[in-house]
Amino acid sequence: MKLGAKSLIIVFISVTLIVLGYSLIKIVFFKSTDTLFKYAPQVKKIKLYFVNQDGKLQAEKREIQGGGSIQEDVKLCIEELAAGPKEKGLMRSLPPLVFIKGVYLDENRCIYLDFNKSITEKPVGGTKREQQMIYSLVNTILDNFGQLNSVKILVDGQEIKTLGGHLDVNQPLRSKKLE
Amino acid sequence: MDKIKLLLLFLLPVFLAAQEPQSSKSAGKAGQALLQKPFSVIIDPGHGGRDGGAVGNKGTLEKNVVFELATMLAKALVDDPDRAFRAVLTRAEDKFVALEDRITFANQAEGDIFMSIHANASESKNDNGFEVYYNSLVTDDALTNIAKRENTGISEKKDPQPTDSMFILWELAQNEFQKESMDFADIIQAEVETAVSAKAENGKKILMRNRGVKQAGFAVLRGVRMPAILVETSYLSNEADENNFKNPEFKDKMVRGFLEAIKKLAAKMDKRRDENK
Ligand SMILES: [Zn+2]
Repeated sequence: MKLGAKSLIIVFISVTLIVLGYSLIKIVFFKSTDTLFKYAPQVKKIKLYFVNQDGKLQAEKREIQGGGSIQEDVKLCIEELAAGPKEKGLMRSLPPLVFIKGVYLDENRCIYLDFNKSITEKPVGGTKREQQMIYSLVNTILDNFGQLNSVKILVDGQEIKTLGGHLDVNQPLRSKKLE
Repeated sequence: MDKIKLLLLFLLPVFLAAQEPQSSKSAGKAGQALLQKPFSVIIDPGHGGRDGGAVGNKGTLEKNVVFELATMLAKALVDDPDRAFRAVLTRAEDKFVALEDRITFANQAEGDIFMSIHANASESKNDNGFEVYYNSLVTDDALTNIAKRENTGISEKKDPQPTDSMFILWELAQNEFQKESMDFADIIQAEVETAVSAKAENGKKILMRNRGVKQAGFAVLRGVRMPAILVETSYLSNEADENNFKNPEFKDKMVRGFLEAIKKLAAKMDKRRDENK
């Protein structure tokens, strides 16, 4: 009888400890992921990938006044990218009329970049141009935001198969290319 | 309405095959060639109709030059005296054909190999040359990223993303042809180099940069169930490359390179099949 009560107390204490521990871990974990994606606005040093004379992507360094979340900062970065290069010898990677409509984040740390139709409508053509467009985005995002895993391109909120009939952009892109 | 759409989709391959007079018809060959089952080559001229593809500075349109090369190749294959070939084009005229329809058509036509023909363009005018692509698998993207991160000593590892089972099945199906696609790309690259760099009768040489064999995730290659490659014949955004297309000899030589490569690949695949019997 005495033994039964003792083990009951032990079980009770163990359960309490496990529950408390779990909650503590949960709080710490959520706080840590939260600070990865939401933070105090600050000046940010960024690298923007534009096309160089050899047709490869080359980073131009810039400083921007950042926002309070990763979505805001990503949007600012892409706006800078769409505005074109300032450095001599570099060329724009995105067609002139392209602008970013929205930025979304999912639980797999994939960032969705939603563009207007110009990104697919501008009849520039060429696999290399497509690669330059896609990887200027992917390289810029993955280089500046280490907490992100992949990039997905949307047009008017919809998934698309390709930008101009060549490369598959229907799934998240995870690696930098064309450097 | 939906029924009509469905019917149209079904009829499209039939229509395309009928439109191409040279296609689906293996030329009568003497001797042994007659006994051989014709080797089916699906030729996919990129773009078409409202999708012009790349545009050169002098107005050359990708959809036109690739269509010209595709029909030249189809004719060369069917006329080949050594081997029975069947050449099928995914589009038989200047018409827009969606990528999914090209893929469905190629798979239904049961080709032995698939070859997509394109012409490139870059933001940089200096970019030039010929390159051959075979498909990269979707999961490769993730793998190369992890490998790169490990190499650069960045310790932070990212959680691998969940891949759904449909994806895996599809990737397995793609893998089946990966080895032959690589072979195909290697052979095309070598044969085009040989053919184009051969001196003309007047002693002149055509200048073409060979950028080699590369891997990328082309949507059209990802759906096709056979060894498949995509050739980027040259850069229309480069002046010298665009001028090459004005030279009939350049096109003849390039098609000669394609033909020789396909003949070599066909022999290799025949041999592999015989060994597996
Ligand atoms: Zn193309």
